[in-house]
Amino acid sequence: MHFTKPAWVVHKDSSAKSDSTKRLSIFSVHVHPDGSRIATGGLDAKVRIWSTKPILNPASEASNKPPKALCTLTMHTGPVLTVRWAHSGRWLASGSDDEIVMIWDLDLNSRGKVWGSDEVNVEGWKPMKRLPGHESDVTDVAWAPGDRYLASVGLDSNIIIWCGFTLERITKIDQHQGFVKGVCWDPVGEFLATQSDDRSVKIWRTTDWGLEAEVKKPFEDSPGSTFFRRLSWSPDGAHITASNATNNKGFVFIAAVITRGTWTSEISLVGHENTVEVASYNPHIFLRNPSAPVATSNICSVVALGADDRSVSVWQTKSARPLIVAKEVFERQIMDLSWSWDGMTLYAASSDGTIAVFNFEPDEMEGIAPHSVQEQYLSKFNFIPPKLPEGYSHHNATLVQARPALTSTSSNANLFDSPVGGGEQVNVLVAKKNTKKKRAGLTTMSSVPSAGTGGAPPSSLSSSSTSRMPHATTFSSSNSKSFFPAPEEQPFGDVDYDMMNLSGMGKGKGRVMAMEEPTYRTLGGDRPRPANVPVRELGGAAAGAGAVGSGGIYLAVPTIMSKVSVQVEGGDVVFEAINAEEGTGGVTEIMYIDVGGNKTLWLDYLPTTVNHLAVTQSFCAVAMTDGSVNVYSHAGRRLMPTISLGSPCSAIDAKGDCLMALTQTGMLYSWNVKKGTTFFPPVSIAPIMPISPNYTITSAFVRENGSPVLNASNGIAYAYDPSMCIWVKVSERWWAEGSDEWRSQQKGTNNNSGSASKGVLPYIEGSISFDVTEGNQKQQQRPEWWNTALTLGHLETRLHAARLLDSPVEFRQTLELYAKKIADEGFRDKGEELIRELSGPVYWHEGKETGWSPMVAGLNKRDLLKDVLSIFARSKSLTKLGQDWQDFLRKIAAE
Amino acid sequence: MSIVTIRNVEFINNPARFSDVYRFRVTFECIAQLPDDLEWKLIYVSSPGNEELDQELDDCLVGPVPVGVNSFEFEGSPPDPSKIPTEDVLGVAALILTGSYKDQEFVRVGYYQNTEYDNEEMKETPPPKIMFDRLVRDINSKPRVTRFQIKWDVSPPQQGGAAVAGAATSASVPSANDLDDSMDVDGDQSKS
Repeated sequence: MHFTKPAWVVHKDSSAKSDSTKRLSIFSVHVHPDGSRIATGGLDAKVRIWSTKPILNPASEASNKPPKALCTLTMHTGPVLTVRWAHSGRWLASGSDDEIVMIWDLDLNSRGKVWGSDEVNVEGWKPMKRLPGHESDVTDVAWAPGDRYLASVGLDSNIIIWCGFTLERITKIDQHQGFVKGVCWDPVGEFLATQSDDRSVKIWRTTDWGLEAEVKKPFEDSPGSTFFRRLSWSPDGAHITASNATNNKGFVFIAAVITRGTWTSEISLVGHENTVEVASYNPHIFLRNPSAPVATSNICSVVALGADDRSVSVWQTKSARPLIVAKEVFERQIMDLSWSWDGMTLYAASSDGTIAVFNFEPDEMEGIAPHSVQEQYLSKFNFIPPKLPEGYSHHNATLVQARPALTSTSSNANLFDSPVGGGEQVNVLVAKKNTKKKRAGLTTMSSVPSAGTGGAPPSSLSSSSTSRMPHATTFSSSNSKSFFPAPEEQPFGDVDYDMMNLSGMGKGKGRVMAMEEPTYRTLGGDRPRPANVPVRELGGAAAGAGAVGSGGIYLAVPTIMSKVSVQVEGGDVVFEAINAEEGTGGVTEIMYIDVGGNKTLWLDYLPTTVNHLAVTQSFCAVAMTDGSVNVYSHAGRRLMPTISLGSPCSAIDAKGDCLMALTQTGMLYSWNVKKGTTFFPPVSIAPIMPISPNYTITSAFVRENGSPVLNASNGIAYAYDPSMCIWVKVSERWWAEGSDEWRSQQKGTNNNSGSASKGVLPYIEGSISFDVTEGNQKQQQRPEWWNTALTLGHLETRLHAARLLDSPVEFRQTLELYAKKIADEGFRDKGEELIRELSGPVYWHEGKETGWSPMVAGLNKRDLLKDVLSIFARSKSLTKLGQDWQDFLRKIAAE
Repeated sequence: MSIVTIRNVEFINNPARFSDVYRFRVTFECIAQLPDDLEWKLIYVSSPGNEELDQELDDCLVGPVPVGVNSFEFEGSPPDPSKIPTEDVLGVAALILTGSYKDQEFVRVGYYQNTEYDNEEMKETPPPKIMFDRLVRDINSKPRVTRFQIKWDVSPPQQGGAAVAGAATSASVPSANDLDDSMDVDGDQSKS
């Protein structure tokens, strides 16, 4: 597979200075059916068209042939959220924040310099038709098979179906109760599927636009504020893969695979660490056994997922593992995915303003079947699509060829004129002085408009074109009974897959080929891994310790072991220390070992014994018994001088770029290793150490933002708040005595060894809840408001904790729980205060300097507010409050 | 989504004498029927700090506007010299063209205009009292365009005849791989 990030595919801020290099978010990418160009839609309200040859072929990139940028379409006045080429390749549909769906058509005459900008359009695309009708942002559009229809969906909760030929509106469906953020068509043509913030996927019949089915279960706990919920229908018609689904009460982010006919979701694609934003099927059917005949049981498909965890995964449904996982390819969420028609290239767009291209080799797409196989297979469904409007067609070679001849005859010129037939027609209007605001007359020199209309319908050609409709002939009429190959015959691989980690797949521009192991020399060389050192205790706690901290604190320090080792995340590599035994003349050494290759990648020798190791993606840390700490890179370079803490570490932990050390004397340090700075001045844990000698710190870990979390043996978890310079309780066992939300949390915490994957709060709560027995909970008589008060207190504490520990996902989840609780109880004052806190000053807008911070826990408060309001609006008691504020927000947004 | 997009603005007489009328040709594209007229204004900004000194040189109506590419010409009178502060006459001023529909401005195009004497001696040592009949102006051809979102009030859904007949009437789209940029870019607007 070749991987490329074309740096020149960019949407820029035109209002900024022309030399500004700031990339604006790209919301959508789509490949033209001929594979030679892509369209992108961006925050700059523009649609851009780029050629793909320079992306796929370095020689073409260097020679600038064909030109990289083909066209910029500037008519939208809001961010362009979706771009989709028609299957015919002749039209492009775009949907925007400005509530409009736009259809673009090739126009050879509008090539050239774009007035009012420095852009040059090498290929001209003109606005052909403007489709107004949505009352809010258009988030997604999709062309039906054969371009029979165009469907558009938006934040007005509506679906609009347009005729794919006349582009007139056919119907509006308003049965979603929330923002609609994704739409796709059944390749058979029988159904349409849409996905909405009302936490449902709905399936609609194309025969009467009625609701066929509704799928809710996988989305019950799906977070509300993703940009999109783009979904995709498999090319064999058997499955829909929907984005933004969850398992396990919302803690496991998945894509849900919905089966046609039963409309249930038994299969999930598991592995992404954050919400899945988009799913996209390869347009080809794949054969499990390429030599076996095409049968339902021999068919599988390939689907790509893009998620808020900034990674892209590609799955083949016959195998238990994804084909590839590309992590750290983008710096922000993935917004859209698009496969080329030949099924060999996948394009991905991100809100970080870049696109990435995955170009597969034929042997990586094993079993790929030609499109004719799909066509044949789909014909088994015996679905007869509704008749086309009379006289319309998308593909009629003779018609196209006939046009130049017809335009030359003056009598027919009005009927068939288009810019292709000749030069551009310009109507010359006459301006009149606006003295009395009277309408000026118009002299039309040439009455033929070039855009927006094709003149009158080509009725004279209707007889010839109807007989040439390409799809009408492919349906056999012998069997009118509906037949559907049972999807159960088509087994998926195992359900819970782990992701393979292909991290470092290349940030920025560059091509990554199959990687070969380099054979350079390293410190420690190819020394094989030493024979297993038996792990045993070497003696008492650290030498050279003994100082007692200011508060009389003396924390436990682990005994020195003959060997300490830690697994390096995401690889078959171990970081290991061998401690010298006193009096044996041995040396203490640390090693970075490739276990698979059984060789030492690098090593170092140390003056004193080692009692802690910690490793993250960015560094390795070694804490020694004399209170010094060494920090190495993964290549074995010292990233900073040896740190001297004065007393040995009771605990160290590392996460991301952050290293935390807790010394025997109760001093806590937290550094950003990359920047060489401290997150806050060293702080004593004395305030949280009760006088009683029985209380100890049972565990300590650090978050990526530098916040330390300490668990004390009294069932309280503390974190340090650097802005207030105090220790705060992020959770305590007390909540278990009455909070309704306590128990639900603990399910996910079993067999949870690390805090990274499942969220930090359940981890913390799980770690302090071990001895809460149900017995003593039930026996006690509690006052009337007990549970409500404790639940709210618990959730409020969790909100603060999620903010402090920088866990946006949990912040949002807790906020939703909290909003639901307030709504269920009907606490209007609390609800209103929460709304005001999230909305901030009414006249605040981006870029305005006020004391109010628009963000909390890395999330936009007003986005969160939308979630909260939709919960209130759906509740029994706070409906009006929610709706009033929703209206109000809309008004603010409209200004 | 703007229904009207300016394709080009040409100055028919530029450079010109300071006291000449401004003659413009505006070419714009309209993508939906507009029942009302478009209003265009030309404004001379002599002192950016003081809006009261702005002079409206012309105000015209165009309509009804058919769908397609349209153009019109108009003339604006030169600014009244008596209303320009003496210190602001020479040097750079701004010329603003605005387009409005139903009293809502949807586009604003700004140009820089440079005003100077028509001979080297007076450029070197300007006469104490400004001699307006010796002044010439030159408008910089680079426009600064600001677009505004307005309510065009096109009633959805748009009925009114079959406007489109399916993609069969559209040109087939050749592969982008064969494109090159050897086209005559600057001359393309006038070529047909």
